Amino acid sequence: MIKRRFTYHSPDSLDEALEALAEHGSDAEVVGGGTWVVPEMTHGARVPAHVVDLRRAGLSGVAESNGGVSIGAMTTYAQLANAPLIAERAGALATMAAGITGGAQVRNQGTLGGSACYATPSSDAPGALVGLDATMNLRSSSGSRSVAAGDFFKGAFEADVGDGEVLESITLPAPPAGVKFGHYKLKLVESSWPIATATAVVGVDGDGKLTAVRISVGGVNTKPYLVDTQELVGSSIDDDAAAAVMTAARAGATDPYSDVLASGEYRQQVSGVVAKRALLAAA
Amino acid sequence: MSDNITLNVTVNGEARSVEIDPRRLLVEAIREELGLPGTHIGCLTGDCGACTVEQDGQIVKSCLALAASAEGSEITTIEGLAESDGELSTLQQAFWDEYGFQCGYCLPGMLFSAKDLLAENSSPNEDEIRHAINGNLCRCTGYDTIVKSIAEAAARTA
Repeated sequence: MIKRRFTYHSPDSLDEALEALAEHGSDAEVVGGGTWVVPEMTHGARVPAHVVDLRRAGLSGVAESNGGVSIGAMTTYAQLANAPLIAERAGALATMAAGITGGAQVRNQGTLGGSACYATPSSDAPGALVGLDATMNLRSSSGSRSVAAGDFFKGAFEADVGDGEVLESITLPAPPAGVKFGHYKLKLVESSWPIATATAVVGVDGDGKLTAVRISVGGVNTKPYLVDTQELVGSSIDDDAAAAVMTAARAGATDPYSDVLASGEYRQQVSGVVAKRALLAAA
Repeated sequence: MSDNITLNVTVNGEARSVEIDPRRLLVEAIREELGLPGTHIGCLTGDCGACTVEQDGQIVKSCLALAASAEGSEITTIEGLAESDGELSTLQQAFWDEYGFQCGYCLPGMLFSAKDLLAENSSPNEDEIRHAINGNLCRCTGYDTIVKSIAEAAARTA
């Protein structure tokens, strides 16, 4: 049993949740799917006096939004993997969600918003969100604000969520014309968290030429980064493009993250091939 | 204790109402307050799958959930998998016949994952079976007999 006593709040709406957080913010922990926060409370790594459980707050679901997609923060990986709108407009997110480690159970429980707020480098979601150019929409009792995913992830275990704030939804822009998605995850054993991930969103015209290229790398630096792909517009997805992506991805690995899974040096080394495989997966 | 809260759930078809400490994990409430110790505590980190139950039709790891969060849910535990007359289900019988377990600790995760798979895919191949059980750890069998058990259950159901 969790050792530290806490008061449990189960708000029926986001407004109710924000009221509770306005009162107890700095002493409160927000629980989404539970897969990160609950075990950390069990093991004493988090000792909140108040727990605000978002289960009933109505933040789950996928909807169309200006040609893109709006995703409730409490949407689970299983919901993402099975949503036709995600497959069509954000295919890399469906691939990411279906590949989450921990089995069908964790994919039924873990939420996209929870994973984003936890911001561990060894996670699938942050890199994919930066690659998909996501906007993170936050609410507090005093207002709302939106932050680009690239700014939301500030470092290892550090997301731009203040006391009293809740991530309400994540919006993805309309994909480019002729979009193709690629997502690649490197892990060395089945039950491992990711060591490095890459997400590619490319637009391809009728001649097979790239009209837009966006590739992110997750897990390598303390926060996800974009690969410099400016020069690839107008070229095809071929060996030269793949080689250019490898070089650019490694050049971006300037703040590599070390943990029990892999050293920063290793992550830096593999960043290139992981990015290349994401691009080729989009071909 | 004055801080206790009431948890109302339907477990294995029976409506239950129990007093719990809000610090209880779902797996702890299932074992202690609801008196169903077939759901096991392994890692308490969501890795091993021994605490797997079905909640509102979806399989979950009950060590990753606060019991309070399950208010109003319908839960099936491993005790609820057998037929109503107490006979083993086809899936359980296949695990029995094919030596799909030794100590049995991982069975909640293995059986519920297999049930989940077979509900979607009545004739899975070996890769699909191995993928379906990848959220569960077994330290006895080396997994081969578990895979055989699930394939056998699929064959018997066909």
